[in-house]
Amino acid sequence: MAINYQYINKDTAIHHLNPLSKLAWTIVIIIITLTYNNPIYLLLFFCSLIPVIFTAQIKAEWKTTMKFSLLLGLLIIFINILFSQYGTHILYQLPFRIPLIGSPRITLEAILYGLGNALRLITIISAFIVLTLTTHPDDIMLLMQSMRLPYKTVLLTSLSTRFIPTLAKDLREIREAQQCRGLELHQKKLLPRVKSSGMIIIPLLSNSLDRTVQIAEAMEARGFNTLKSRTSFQQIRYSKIDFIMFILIISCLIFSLWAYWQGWGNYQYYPTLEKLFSGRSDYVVLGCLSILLFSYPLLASLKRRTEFD
Amino acid sequence: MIRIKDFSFFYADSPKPALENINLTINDGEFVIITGPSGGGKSSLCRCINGLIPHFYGGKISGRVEINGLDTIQHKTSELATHVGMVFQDPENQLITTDVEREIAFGLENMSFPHDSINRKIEESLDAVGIPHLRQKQISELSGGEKQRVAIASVLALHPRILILDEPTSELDPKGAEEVLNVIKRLNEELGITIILIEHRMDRVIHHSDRMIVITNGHIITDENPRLVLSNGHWEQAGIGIPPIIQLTHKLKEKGFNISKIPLTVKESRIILGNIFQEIIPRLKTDNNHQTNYQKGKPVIEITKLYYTYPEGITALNNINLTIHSGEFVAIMGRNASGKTTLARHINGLLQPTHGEVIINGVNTNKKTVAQLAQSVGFLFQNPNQHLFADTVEDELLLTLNNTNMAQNKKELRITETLGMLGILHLRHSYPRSLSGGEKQRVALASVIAAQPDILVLDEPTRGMEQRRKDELMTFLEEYRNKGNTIIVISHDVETIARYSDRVILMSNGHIVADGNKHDILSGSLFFSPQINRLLQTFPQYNKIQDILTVEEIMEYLP
Repeated sequence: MAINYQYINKDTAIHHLNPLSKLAWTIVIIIITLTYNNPIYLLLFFCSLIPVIFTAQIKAEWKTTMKFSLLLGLLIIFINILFSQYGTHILYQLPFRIPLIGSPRITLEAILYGLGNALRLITIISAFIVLTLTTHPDDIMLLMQSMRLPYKTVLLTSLSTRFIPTLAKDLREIREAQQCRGLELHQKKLLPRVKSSGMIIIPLLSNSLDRTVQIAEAMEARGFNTLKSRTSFQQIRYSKIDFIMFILIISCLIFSLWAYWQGWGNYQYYPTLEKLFSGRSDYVVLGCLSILLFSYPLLASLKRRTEFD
Repeated sequence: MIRIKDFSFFYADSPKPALENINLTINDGEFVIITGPSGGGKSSLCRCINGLIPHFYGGKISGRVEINGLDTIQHKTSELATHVGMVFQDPENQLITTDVEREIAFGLENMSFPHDSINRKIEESLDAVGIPHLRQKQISELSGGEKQRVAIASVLALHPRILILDEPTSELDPKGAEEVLNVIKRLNEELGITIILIEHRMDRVIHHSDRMIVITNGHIITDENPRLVLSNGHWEQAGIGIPPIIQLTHKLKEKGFNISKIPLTVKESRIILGNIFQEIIPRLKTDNNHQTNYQKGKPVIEITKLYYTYPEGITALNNINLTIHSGEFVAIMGRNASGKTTLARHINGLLQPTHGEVIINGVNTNKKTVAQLAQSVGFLFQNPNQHLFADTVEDELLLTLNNTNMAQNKKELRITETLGMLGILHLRHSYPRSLSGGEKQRVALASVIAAQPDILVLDEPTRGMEQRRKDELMTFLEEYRNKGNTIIVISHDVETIARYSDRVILMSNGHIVADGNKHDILSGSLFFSPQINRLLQTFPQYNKIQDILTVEEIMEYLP
């Protein structure tokens, strides 16, 4: 099953959000996930994504990505168990020696540390998936343009995303044509495999070059580069709710950084696991963070509703 | 108004002129068709009119081209964009953005129009080509015909008074082509836009055009009203294809019939040729049996209870049962998404059945890989560019032969033989990708038949081809068939199928809806009848000629 990370056109509250809010939200989620290391807090960040994914109706695509990220997460846990020897709760000591590593012991601390990091990873991937699946690439381009990036750079990036599916189709057809000419593409030997992949790249490149010339002609014929300035039809509209959302996202960032600086959510795995909750104040901070994070999908739905009225 | 005076042009690397001494004036509101063999200079002429020559291509130039009084040497293509719009062949390669609205806005943004005015112009141009309902769509959701109409709308948004279209339908199926041609006709008639159209499918457009220009070897050899061009012999000399009813008219004239004018459409031909047929039909020979029985050998393809469902859940084939024998020339026809290509892909194992079985020469396709099956089933894709990988034509054939267990010394002989059969022996050491379109197609075909497969499957081999090349290809396939091989062609091209195939399979929604002799399937059908048959369908009382499909057949009947 191929992983889909490309924009899907749907009519949902998240799709209708301002690209700037979505970008800011993604960045904030990534920053706070990387800052905090208490697993309870990390779990909260992960859970806060779930209503967003459901609202955006991208559950199926998200699930396929999750399969892949869970695999990556397991790998992180496994490597951490093997290499990290600091914990004090020894669960099992391997009876044999591995060169360079020695005789590893499996500790509870290492397992939990691995779990925490795996959770971080899947949270970041999910936040990113939400952004790319629900935001039109051209909207992101528009955003970059409004951030004063030169138009030609932005156009180039947008063109290359536009032609990814075409390139994939070309690739499939060339491989099929070669199979039809009697070439075994699933060779086991390395040398013929390298040779046959060269034979795929040459026609692929040459087709793309032809395409480039045609695109350039078409752009020229539609007045590209005539005037120094150009207008932009698509504009990012900022409504009152967008403004509120933006304040919400920023305050979420400021609050979480302040709380972390004050010592909440900082968790020591090694040498012995700390208590997950250091006191009642933890519940207060967690509560505030949940309100801030969960109001994001709520405000998005509200915005959608007000637009309809 | 377009004024071209003493114009010549050489591409930068060529000693031969692409255009030589062209003098041409095109007035506002005219509908001009440009035709001629490929490589003759049609596309170059169009690119001169919108300034892509010399600004984009460069090269040597002499003479003048003026568009509405603007010299194309002093004004860049992008400046001319508000005077001349250009639509290209492949819709895929001229759409720049990912959705319809942005696509149409692109040109307007370049011209720095304010937001409100862009908004209005998008709506107007979508209306002009009849697709306002597609405004919010993604480009990837559209059909070929719709994409090409978006391309036209995006050009129209800049309000050019001249529209150039370079083979706009060659990548489209008949339905898409018709949509596009209808739009072009409407733009000319209702908005008075000057149309310059390069087109091979003349039967749908000649009657709308005012002028027809034939270009070969960089020269304009004729420039007149289409009826005049088609009555004199210039078209024959240029090797361009003309609709069958016009061919018939010429043949009848040669036989001494008195015909006042050349009919351009089937409707006109019923009127103009009506009297002649009323008179000659009773005198037709009746002993002539055109239902020739071709040599049919042993079954080579046996398909039983074949079902196929794509991974996305779409059922493309629904209980297909089919036997094809050696020596048959079979055409598979049907609308888009009727299952034609899916069926063909089962014959060489590119797809494996969800249910049922496909047996090739007695062996089930699931027992072999695609590469192994390639020894007995040759498969040619529509685009020859996808077929060419090697450095020389010779290597291209060797690539195929190296996958067979043929002795080294025989390979040499086989290459010479194959290239000779296709008349491309002189290209043996050329680089395949630098050849012309027709030559590429032949090299691609050579690379497939070098292995001498006894079944040859071709996907849309004649799409976008000019008549002369079509005839060459089909004649070759006929010869190959006569050696006892089986030919299967997927095609929309009714006229070509009517001339060359024996058996027609008609598909719809994953079912075979008709399968039999071409005379039974193609005659009297509403949608898939060739022109000659549609002409004869109006004389139902003469049922002995009901199933005539081609000009050749009707001429055999004449006394």
